[in-house]
Amino acid sequence: MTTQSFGKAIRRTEDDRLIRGHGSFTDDAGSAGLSLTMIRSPYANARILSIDVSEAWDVEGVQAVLTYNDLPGRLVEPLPLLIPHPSLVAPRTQYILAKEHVRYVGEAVVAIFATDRYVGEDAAERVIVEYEPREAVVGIDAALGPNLVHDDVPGNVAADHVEHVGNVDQALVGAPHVLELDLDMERSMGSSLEGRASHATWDRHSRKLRIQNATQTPTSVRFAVANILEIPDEQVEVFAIDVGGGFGTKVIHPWPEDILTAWGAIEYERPVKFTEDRVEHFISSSHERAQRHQIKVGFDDEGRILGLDVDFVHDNGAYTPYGMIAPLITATQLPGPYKLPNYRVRFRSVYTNTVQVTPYRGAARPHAVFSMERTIDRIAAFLDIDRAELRRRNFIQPDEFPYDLGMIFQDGRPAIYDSGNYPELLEKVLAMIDWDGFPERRSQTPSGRRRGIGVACYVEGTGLGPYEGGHVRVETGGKVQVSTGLASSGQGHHTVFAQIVADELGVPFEDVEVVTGDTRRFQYAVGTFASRAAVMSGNAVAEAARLVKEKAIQIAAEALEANPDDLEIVDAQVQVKGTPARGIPLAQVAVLANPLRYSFSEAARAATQFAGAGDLDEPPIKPGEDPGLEAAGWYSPVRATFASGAHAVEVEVDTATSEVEILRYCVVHDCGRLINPLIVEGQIHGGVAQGIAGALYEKMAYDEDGNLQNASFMDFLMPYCTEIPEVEIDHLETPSPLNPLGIKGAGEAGVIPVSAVIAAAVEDAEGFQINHMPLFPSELHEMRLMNAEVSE
Amino acid sequence: MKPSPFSYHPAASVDEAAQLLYELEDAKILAGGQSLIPLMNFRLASPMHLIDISGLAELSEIKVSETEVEIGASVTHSQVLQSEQAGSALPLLVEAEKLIAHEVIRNRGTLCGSLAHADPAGEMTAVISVLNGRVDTASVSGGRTIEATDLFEGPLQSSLREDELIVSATFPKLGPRTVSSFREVARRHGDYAVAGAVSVVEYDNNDQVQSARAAFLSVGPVPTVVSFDDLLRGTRIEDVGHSEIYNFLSSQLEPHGDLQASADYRRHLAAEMGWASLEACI
Repeated sequence: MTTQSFGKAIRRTEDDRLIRGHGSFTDDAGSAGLSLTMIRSPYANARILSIDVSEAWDVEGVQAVLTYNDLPGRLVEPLPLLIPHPSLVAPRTQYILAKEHVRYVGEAVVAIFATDRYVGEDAAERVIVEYEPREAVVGIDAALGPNLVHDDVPGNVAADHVEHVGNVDQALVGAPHVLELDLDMERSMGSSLEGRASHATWDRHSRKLRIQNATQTPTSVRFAVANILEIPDEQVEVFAIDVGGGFGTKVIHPWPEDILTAWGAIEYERPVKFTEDRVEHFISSSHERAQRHQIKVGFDDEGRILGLDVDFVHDNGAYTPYGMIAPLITATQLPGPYKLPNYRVRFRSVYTNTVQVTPYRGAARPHAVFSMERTIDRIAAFLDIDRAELRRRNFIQPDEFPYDLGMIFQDGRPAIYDSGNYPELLEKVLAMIDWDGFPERRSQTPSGRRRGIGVACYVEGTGLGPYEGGHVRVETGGKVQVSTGLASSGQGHHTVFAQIVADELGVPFEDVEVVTGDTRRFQYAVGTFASRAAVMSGNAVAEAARLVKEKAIQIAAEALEANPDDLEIVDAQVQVKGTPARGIPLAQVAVLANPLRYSFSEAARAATQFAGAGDLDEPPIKPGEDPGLEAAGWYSPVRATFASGAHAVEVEVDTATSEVEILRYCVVHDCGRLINPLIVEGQIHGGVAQGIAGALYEKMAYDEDGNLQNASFMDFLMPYCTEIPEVEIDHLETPSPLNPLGIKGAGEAGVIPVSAVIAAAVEDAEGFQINHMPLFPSELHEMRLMNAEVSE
Repeated sequence: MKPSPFSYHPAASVDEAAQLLYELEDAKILAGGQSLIPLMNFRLASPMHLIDISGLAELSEIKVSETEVEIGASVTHSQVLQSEQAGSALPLLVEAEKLIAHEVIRNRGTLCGSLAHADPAGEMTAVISVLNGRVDTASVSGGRTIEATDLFEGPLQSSLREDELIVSATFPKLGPRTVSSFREVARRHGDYAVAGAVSVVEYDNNDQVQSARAAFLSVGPVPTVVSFDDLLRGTRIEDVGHSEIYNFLSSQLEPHGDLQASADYRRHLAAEMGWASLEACI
């Protein structure tokens, strides 16, 4: 038997290269060429009165200085709306360079092409832009007020959406108890280590535009660039060799700089590079997490939820390039693992003069889980029932799958949970943190500290369609080449796809080489987001490997004069089952799969027309067959598969400093069958770290004029590893019935319930309600004072 | 985030550095660059000339005498931290150095540079203030000594003249019946403190407080030194207790609010740190 690698904690093959500094990131590409520098708006809401670029042209090394009026062809159009929706009544996207009006601090106004970024920034200082500032709309209160972000969008409402199951009004009227909650979460952002980047070269001899781009979706960047530049897709090649994190921001495309670098490369016949710096990442990429929720919940004496009515406002920033996906996810993922026979959700997505909001790891699920779990905890407190017990009473049970929520999910298909075991998840995490032993531990809390515990559960739709593909080819040298169209931004695709192909094909893991995100290798793909790569491309490369295996067995059967049904592939050899002596190496089968006229090696001689093999009455390639030992495979699911998990945390809060210390953080996670536990656990660690960041450290601090006051890592407190506790992990494996490998997505899971569970634990420690995240020591201190006054 | 054009001048001696500083228009001294270079990258500072003193052997010494520890202007935080001589002569230096940023920053950043930068959130500005230390300077018109009490004029503003550079900082050693302690709260490991206090307590022969003072960081435009002499002289810290000291400090300190802390929270935190650092001197 070939050693099975699926399910093994194999170390990532990409890490050796990355750790030694041999990665190939976009900023590593090219040396001679032009650098693109953008001048960005210092105002959140202003009309542009005039732009004087004349002095900037005089700076040595400047190739061109462009404003909106200089843009040719389709570059004058607003950037595309990537995901329309019927409820998105007033979508707006930004221009490549601002046309007459700027709507957030950081919006691109002028583009400078210069020999390097230093020269570009020197020239930028000589450009004079005259603005007429207007009142900025910052925050949800302002969005609901009289001032407008877009003059033609009344009430600043981009989208207004309602969905419901059952009859909420009736359920609330009939409920023995009704509670209301007001919850809100502030903005944060993904903060990938590498910012946005694009490097474009135009080869005028072969007429190819080659773009290395730090993107989660190279195939879509390709189509978008070709479309806007009005050149054939065939002339555009996009590849993302290494991408230093994406977290959702890099699924947005095309950015103004993607188009300008591509256009500039052709126009000036020189390579053009744009590498976003950290300030730009803060003020001109994407943010997420600003929602305010009003919740009304009705329940019976046992704590069973009878009706849930949620009305929330989502601050989408100045533009909606990604439509209303983020609030839509909140709406449909809010029920989580609980039965809600009567549920209504309404949201308004509103414009503000701030950076656009698009999905960031977790994609508005943290808001959903915060709402649902805070609600459950509040009911438990009201009825004085153990918080874990209240969850048990409301869970969807293991025998109730598939479970139809009665709503439409973000893929436009019914939200139907495919499988799961929520009670077992909860019991496992309670045992892990020793929930029942907490009162004893609390009684031993050192003086000057308060101790609290919390638990939170979530369900996450993963593995969205429409499709992904993969290609597998066995080379005559024995290496197996795998390619997928979707890119890796640190997920470990090179390792897990190799594991899957190695097992399906019957070759050693080490023989499989994976290339991702290169349109020259694989042209059709959707992208890496929504915890979908393993589910989608994983099943696609598995299918491709199965097709290659079938073909190899057919070819080998002829060569071995054996029945194909009697053959197997073990350790890269096609052989009669259980008889290694009667076999032929897969590399040799690859030779036979490609009948040759010309020999170039010893191995190739065996495949030439005079090698003597085959039936002389048949053509060398039979009708319906293709040369080469290769195949493309596809996977297109009927709908998403739903992963789940439960987190528990025990915290200590300092009575003097109001600092929150995490004593233990426990995760039980169910993403179906595990391809590689090491990688899944790494994903969870990273997700929990980002969750803790969003819960205790990070927020986008806008002032009332729309200036982001903390646009640097000195003031925006992304936690260091020193702030992140050890994360204890256990797994449950409930296979998905929807795909052959039985897997579910794992990329985002870790981040989702963190704000909810930390709020629960701090609330438990402090004894007053936590309705707002993030929670900083300064605010906790003020809350203590307020609550002390109230209780006096 | 790229600096404006500037000329770089590696100085061969302190005299040359002083001469260049005098001659060149809009020149700055570069030692570790851990504050200046980020400011330049943000284009918040755009000096036309940088005079690099980091390679000067004559500024690289740590000298310990009977009564003092003297740190040269090119000595990095890491070198102070690793100096057994400095550590045994004045343990407070090491305690404070451990709170400064991260190792990679300490490897380049210099102790004297952090004093010249005059950030009231800097640990060393508080240490030199509480110890009544001093800096020695050089310039073409000759050197001078600036006492710590005269060194800091405002946030990022020192009393150094434009043609003057610090050549060393000198910290008095503590007496045999004197105890010190540093306490601070930072949002993240290695960040500038939200609030912090460094206390020095001298005891008499009856183990009662002879004198006590603390310097507070991040609570005002310059390090704030508070004397506890009236409150503690002739008593014991534990006998006066938390609430009296907390209330005393709350009335003494007038901190500002910012993104990380409201003024009230910072006052509260500074008072708690003041107590905690005193308590650690018991």
